[in-house]
Amino acid sequence: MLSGLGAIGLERPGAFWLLLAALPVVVLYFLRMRYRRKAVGSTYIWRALALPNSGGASLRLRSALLLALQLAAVAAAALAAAGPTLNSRRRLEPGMAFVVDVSASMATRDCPGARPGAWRSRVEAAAAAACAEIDALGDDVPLAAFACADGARPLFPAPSLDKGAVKAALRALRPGHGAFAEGAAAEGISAWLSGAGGAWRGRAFTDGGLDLGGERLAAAFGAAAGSASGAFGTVLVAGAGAGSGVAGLRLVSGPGGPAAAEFSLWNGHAGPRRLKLRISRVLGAQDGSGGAVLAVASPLAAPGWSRARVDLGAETEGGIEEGAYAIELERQGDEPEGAPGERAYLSVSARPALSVLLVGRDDPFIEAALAYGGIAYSRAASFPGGKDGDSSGAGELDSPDIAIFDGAKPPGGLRCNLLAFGAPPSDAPIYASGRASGPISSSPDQHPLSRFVSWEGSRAESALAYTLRAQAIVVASVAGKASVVAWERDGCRNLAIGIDLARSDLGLKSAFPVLLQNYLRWCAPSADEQSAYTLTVGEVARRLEPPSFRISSATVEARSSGPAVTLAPREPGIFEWSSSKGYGYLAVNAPAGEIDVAPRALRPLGPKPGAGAPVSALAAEEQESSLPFGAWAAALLAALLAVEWLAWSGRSRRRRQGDGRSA
Amino acid sequence: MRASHDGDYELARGLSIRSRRRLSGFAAGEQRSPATGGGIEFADYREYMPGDDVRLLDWSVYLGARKLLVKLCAEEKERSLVTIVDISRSMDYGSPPKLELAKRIASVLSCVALLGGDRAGVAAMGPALVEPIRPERKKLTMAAVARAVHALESVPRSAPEACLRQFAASYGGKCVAVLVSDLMYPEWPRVLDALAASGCDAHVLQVLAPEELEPTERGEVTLVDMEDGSEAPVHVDAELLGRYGEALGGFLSKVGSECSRRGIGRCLIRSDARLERVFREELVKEGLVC
Repeated sequence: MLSGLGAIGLERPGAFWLLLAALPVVVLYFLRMRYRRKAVGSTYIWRALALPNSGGASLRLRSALLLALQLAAVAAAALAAAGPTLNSRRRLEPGMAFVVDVSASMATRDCPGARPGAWRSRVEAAAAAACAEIDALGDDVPLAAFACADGARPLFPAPSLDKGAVKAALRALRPGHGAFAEGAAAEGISAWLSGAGGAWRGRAFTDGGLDLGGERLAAAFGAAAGSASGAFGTVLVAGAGAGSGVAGLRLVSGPGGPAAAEFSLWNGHAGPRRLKLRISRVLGAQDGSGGAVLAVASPLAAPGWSRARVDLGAETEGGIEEGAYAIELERQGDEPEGAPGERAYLSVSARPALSVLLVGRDDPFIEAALAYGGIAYSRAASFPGGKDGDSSGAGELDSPDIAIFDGAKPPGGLRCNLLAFGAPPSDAPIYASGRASGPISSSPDQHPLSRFVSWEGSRAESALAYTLRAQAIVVASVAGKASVVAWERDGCRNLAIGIDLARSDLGLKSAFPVLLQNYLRWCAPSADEQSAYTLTVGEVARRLEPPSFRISSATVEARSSGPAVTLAPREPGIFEWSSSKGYGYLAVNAPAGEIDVAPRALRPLGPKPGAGAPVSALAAEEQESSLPFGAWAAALLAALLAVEWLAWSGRSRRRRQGDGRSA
Repeated sequence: MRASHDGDYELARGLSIRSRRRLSGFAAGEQRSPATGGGIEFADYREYMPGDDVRLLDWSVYLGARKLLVKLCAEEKERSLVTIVDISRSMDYGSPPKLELAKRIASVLSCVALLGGDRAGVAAMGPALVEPIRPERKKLTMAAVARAVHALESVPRSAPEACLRQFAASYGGKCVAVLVSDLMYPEWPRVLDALAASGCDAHVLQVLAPEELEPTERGEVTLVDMEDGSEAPVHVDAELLGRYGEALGGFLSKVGSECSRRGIGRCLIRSDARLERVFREELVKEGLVC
């Protein structure tokens, strides 16, 4: 990958005038070499001492050595002052990166195998195609490989020249359960390429699931190569995609009769097809089987996506029970295996109302804003279980989801979401620093709390102005001073409103109820009973659950933070969860976009494989680098001076010892 | 004679030459000599041989032992002192020069001999042995000795061993021989051999300059031998001076031991030493004068 010759450059060539210092060194050398002549009566004794010194020849040789060292030191000093740099020119052979789509649709076994009648998955076909391209590359081409779905997973931490290892890693790839998120994948690839350096070409092997059309991936490789042209190409790896699938299961209550199931059907065939399916209620069965079968039907599905409805059995006449439901599609003989849409799940959980505790004075504007279904609010003169500044007495079961303080200062250490009118708690990242009057204006900062909130025409009198001492978001200001501020701490979402509803017209404006609803949704995202715990692979959902929340599967990442838990499922299925507040089921479905396994045509981004100029035509790049080594010259100077000093002052101590023995 | 050295001759008064052995001498005198025959002090017997003076037969022995023995008496001769001065160029070195002191010593020693009724001679050790004053001369004045000695000049080259062999041939066993030299030449052991072989009561007065005993030079110096012009470039520092001192000490110690081994008296004298101290202490201690 690298080749080239080095050359030495100088940052300050004028420093070589220092070489003139060699002149006095030479002059002094010759002056010193003029030995004084001293007549003595006899050199009889002296000769016995001087002879082992080998007389003047040795002395002159040694002096010449010292002169050479001094001149070398002068040269090193001049070199160090000149700022030398070692310039190298490297020829960088562009690397080749293979991007393999491992989304759920890539598990579809609709690609022809090695033998007639044998089928292989799209991932296996992608790996085989990539391996064929690797074989066609030269041995000096750096290789990289990425498995991409909701992000990019590099198969090697650094560029590899081992073609066998890269091919083995590609063949070992298995499809995942998520969708292909091109943006996240391109971001990960860009980071890896910038770390590896050099020019890179890319080749993506996918069934067409590039949600951004491949442009972001092309941009990633274009940045690495310096030009997008010819740096990135795509290979469509898919069969006919003539499969079927089901998604989006919902249960709806019938008017005085049994409930019905509504769902979406995918028909990948050219014409209408009747699909056999079964709807059942499962109680903790991970594979969706073993429960009570509610209905078996064969609805007629038009080509592409269509919506279907099936009435359930008498078991649902009493209403829709809590639990987990599954709909299973019977695969027909001419349909490929491995398609991700064979099952869809639904979790029906009794979703408790959002508990809100109002502390402080009565405020009709607040009560009006909370008068919605799904919100259960209560009132208290003080926060339960503690004095001001101490909320440790509130237990997990007693703690509300949201505490609203109006006319009362919130205590520090609250372990629930907080909405404070007036003074913030003592441990907040803000503090009240004055008052302001004037129109209320929105902050330029984008935040979910500002969604659809129009402050126009609102005015506040003597509103509290907050000063930020740590990270917080200013939602609105009064006369340019922060009066509505939000912040997060330990999983709790907090909002402080310094505007007194009694001394402003905010309560009469539309901004206030919208702001309050935004706050409620920010703390507890809106979800009905059937979508609260019915998620999609790759989706990240925040739910208000206590820290005691536990889930039965390791494929669902559950991170508790304060009053909420963040769920991130990685595989479809039904999983049981429990907490101190109760228990339920989590239904995880494959992404709807992955159920449609029909290959999608890719826009031409680069040369097509086997046609025109190959991607590998990207020219090698010459890269120049400069390595300063002035410090090494300075070190050489110090070393030369040290050697010269040792040679002079040590003055051949060994020789002297030898002289002593000779004498 | 220079005015500054006028006191040297006062120094000679009250001193006399000592000899550690009987010498043959040149003429009959007051000192016992190893020669037998002409003296009056009995020395030994020997058997009669044809040709011997029959007046020397000890008839009393013949009457008792019936043996013809000739009575030998020790011959008394005048004592002679020959001072051999090294006039090689190296003796010009020093402050004061070594040759200066050597000539003063030779003068005073000669005066001591003359005042003591002995004969005195001075020889110069140059390329060949030069004898400005021979001990055979009877009527020699101290002024003449002084003039002759101080007329000596250093010579570029010298052959000390040859000179001493020449001296031994001329004065073998006949005098007290005093060699005044620095002995700073490689053949000094052979010079001592020649001096010892002369059979004289030999003494060596080794004169060294203060600069030789305690050099003061420092730095890069090319030392030039005044005698042969040879050069020795050296870097003189404390360490080298220390080694010089050790080498010089070893040399002087070896000279002393070699003299002692050959029965030669030896005295080390600095060229800046006071002459009175040299005679009153050093030479008295050495046994050359008393």
